[in-house]
Amino acid sequence: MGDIMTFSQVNKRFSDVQALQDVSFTIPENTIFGLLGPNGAGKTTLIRIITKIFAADSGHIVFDGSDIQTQQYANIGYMPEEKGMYKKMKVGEHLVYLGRLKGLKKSAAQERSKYWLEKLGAGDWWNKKLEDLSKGMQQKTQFIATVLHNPKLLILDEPFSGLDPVNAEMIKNEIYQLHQQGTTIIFSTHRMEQVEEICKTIALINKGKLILNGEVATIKQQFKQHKFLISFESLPEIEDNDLFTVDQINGQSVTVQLKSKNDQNQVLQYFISRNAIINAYYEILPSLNDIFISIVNKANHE
Amino acid sequence: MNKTLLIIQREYITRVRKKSFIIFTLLGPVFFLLISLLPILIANANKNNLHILVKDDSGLIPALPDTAGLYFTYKYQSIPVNTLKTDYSTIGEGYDAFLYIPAMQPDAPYGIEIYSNEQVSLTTKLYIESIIADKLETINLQQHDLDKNILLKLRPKVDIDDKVTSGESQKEGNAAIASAFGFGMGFIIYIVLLIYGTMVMRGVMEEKSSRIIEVIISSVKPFQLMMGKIVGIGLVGLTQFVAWGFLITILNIIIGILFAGQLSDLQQVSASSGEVEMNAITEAMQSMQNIPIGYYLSMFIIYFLGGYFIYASLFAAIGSLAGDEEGDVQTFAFPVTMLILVSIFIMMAVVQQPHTPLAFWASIIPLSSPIVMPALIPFGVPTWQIVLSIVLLFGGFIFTTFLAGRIYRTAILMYGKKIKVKEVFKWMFYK
Repeated sequence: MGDIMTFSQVNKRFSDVQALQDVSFTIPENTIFGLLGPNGAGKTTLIRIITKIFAADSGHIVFDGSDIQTQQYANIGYMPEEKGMYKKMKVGEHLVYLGRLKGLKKSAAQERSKYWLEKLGAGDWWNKKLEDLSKGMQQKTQFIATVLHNPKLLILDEPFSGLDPVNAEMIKNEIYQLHQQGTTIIFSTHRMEQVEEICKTIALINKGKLILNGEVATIKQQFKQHKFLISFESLPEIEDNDLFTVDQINGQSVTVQLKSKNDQNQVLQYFISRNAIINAYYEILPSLNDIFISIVNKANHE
Repeated sequence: MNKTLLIIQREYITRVRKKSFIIFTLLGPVFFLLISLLPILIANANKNNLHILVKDDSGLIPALPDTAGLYFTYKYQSIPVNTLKTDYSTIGEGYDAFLYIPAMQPDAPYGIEIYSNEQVSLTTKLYIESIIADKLETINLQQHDLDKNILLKLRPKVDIDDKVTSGESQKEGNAAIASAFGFGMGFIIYIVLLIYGTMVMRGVMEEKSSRIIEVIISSVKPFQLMMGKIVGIGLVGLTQFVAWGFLITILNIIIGILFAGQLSDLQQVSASSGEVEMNAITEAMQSMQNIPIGYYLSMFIIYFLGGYFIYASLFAAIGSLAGDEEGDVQTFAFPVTMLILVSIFIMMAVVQQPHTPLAFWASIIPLSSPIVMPALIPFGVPTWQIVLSIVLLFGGFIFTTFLAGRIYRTAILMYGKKIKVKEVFKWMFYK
């Protein structure tokens, strides 16, 4: 599988802040890509360079074989974190206007707006004023405006913030569907549980620098701390030993920390030889949240 | 469709269909006319119908024509004058006043009296006097076998024409008309700059504070958005002015028909009461015909557009500097509003003294020329000065939109932190 998008040595400086410093990474084809980082890390700056809101000072971004600066606006769909709208406009005309700004013909923009409103269960909103809609309804409209023109690249900045679980699920399904149809999706957030659920690959940015990049599964392996959870029929007595230390006891379950990696079979034997009845035994991988916090803390101390 | 056109279209349509726009456009001329008609309406409300009994012992005035609110009756000519003087209000249907024209010579119309309970209004008195005077004049001319035209020639009208000798050509001048005309043009441009400039600023602030800006400029360049907004709102202004012109014309016609009587009254009164005033009006009309309206109008449009673009782009830049708090923007808007105010004060001074160095400089510097130059043109401005002014106006327009574009594209995405003037200057000239 090739890469759909390549960032090489991207730099951007605002008068007194280095917003991005030599950022290089790639986004593989056909993935939902997570762009992570704490507030002020440079995520939004990077997104604004991708969406051609401004240009990088140096470095290149190549998308689908050509430089991002030569890409048509029509190829990109962007839903910012702060989702704005012309409150006085009606849902229909707002969507059609934004669609036409992306280069759609009037008739096509109307047709697709109607299609999407129907799809998201909002078929009768056409003549409603945006200011009269609830926040969740407004966000659905904004999502539609982002995907209306069938962009090849879709950038979503905190798309679920402010959505109730039902609507969040609905939007999530739409994202999956677009992904199935071949849209490249960059998903920016600091909500790690969403990233673990949705993204296959991630990049972590802190203070303008890339500090982590790769597949979520690989990263978890890379940061695993060799912890295992054993669930017993009844909790046996555990003595100090050379194989592991007890990390945590929770009811009939024990979390153990291996003293050297690849000793998991010996641990199992240790309990079997003591006639303990084992119901479950599996490795505990760190959550992205843990990794994120530990890395950011480490970086901030440096 | 071109994206800038699309933006212009949206900016235009969303504003033009607003209730506030429609109401302001429709009621503006009504309000304007109400003010201009107020004296007539008040006079009208104050006026009762007056039935006047007339006794003409001279035989010179056989009839007095009725007019709105004034009705003359020739009856009871046989009843003695002294009886009528006291009993006019009870005789027959009863009258409000009694007009007595005694036996007299047409060249010595003395002893005409009017009796009434309440003081007869000045307009009524002037009206009756003028009608009687007209009749007597005709009789006198006939008696002396004189032609009215000869009489007029005996006292020729003396009128000093002021000629302006600046530049290559001599022009007919009329200081009063020129300054009124110039003042009007300068003032309209001043109003336009303030109202629609501020409208551009509000529009930009709205886009910034509602955060729609980020979505829009991921579809179009910031400069396109800024120019689209400026042109769109400019067209809104143009629409409003055209609509006002149209409505005022129509209302004038309607009012002309409805109040025809009262208006002609007033005219008659003024005709008789002040021949001098009448002369002034005819004179003014003649001078108006000498005014090259087409030329003034084209100059007006050039400075209207130039001034609007210069100030609208400045206001757009200021709008983009606004923080989430309303007050922030005032710091930046104040100097620009001051520039407009100073220009209108200069304009007011300049129409009094049109040939000073101040007038010259203010008419070529693009920040004041849109208001000052249109006011100066009726006084005669050398062609080279106009050309220089227009070139600078055009240059100023390019320069301010360029600078405004630079400020706009950076500032429009800055939130939270308060923007300092020093930074703004950096954005203007730094890549």
